[in-house]
Amino acid sequence: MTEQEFIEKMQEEVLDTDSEIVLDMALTDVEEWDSLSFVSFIAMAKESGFTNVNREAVNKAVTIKDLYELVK
Amino acid sequence: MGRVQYDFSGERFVVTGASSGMGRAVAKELAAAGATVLAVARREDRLVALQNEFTGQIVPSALDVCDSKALSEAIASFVKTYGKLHGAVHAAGIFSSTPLRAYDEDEARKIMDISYWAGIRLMQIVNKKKNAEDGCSSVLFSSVAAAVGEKSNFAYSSAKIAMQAAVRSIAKEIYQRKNRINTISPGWVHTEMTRNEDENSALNKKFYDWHLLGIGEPEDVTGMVLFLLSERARWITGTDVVVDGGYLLGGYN
Repeated sequence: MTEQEFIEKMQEEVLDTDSEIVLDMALTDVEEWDSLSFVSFIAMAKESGFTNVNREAVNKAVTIKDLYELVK
Repeated sequence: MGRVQYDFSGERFVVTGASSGMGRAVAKELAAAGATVLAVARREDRLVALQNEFTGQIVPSALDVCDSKALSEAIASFVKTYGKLHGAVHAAGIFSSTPLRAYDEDEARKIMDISYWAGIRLMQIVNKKKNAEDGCSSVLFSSVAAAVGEKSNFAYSSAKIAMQAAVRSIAKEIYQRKNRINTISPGWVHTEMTRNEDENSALNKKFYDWHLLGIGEPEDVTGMVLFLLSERARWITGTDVVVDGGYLLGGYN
């Protein structure tokens, strides 16, 4: 998954936001990052073929870039 | 008795199954109340006829509601031209007998695909921030068949109860922008679909008698749909509303 594809998926499928999302953003600064977007991220990752992405891995993520590392 | 008239001027809705039956009745009533309606169905000629009745307020889109890509593109195009949606109605559905001993599996799956899965995909598309105004209200057609079993109707009943269960879950995902979602469960209503079933099914004739107020007409149901779409229903979400002429009471003494 390219960085552009990832950002688009994050905006549309995971966060459902029209706010700008960039890789170095801290997840704590992303208003839409909540329990629903958390499970949506795992679902998006699995649908994209990254079946090893789990709660534990996502819990360790601090920034958007950390999430990208799980699916790139 | 008082009269209720809705004003949906300046508001936009998508209605599936808009070429006939309940979907068509809802699309017409929304247009009559001033809304602009993206009318989705397979039969283009019927959609065009509807468009001719309400020039400028019905935007026809002839597609198979199970084609998620086509549905998504049609909604995106509508939103781009007219603006974000205020609500959606999923009325597309088929009614077909599926007797356990000899049901057609393709037909049974088709019932689920159109009534249930297409409705779920519609909700996914409609509730995206880019497609809907905050407070967007959706109504999906369930049925009294979700609560009462009739012979040879397991596929239809399953699809309709599945819709109610899904709505209870989805309501908890979309509420933060005040978006709402509900199902409506009509009893037997005179439509093209039910007329066909009258002729071909093994329905017990008591089924008709149990409608204490008689068999319904589409406009007996559309009023509740418009209410649920309206701002007056802003505190109602994740539930099912029965409009059945008393059918679920189980008959008269």
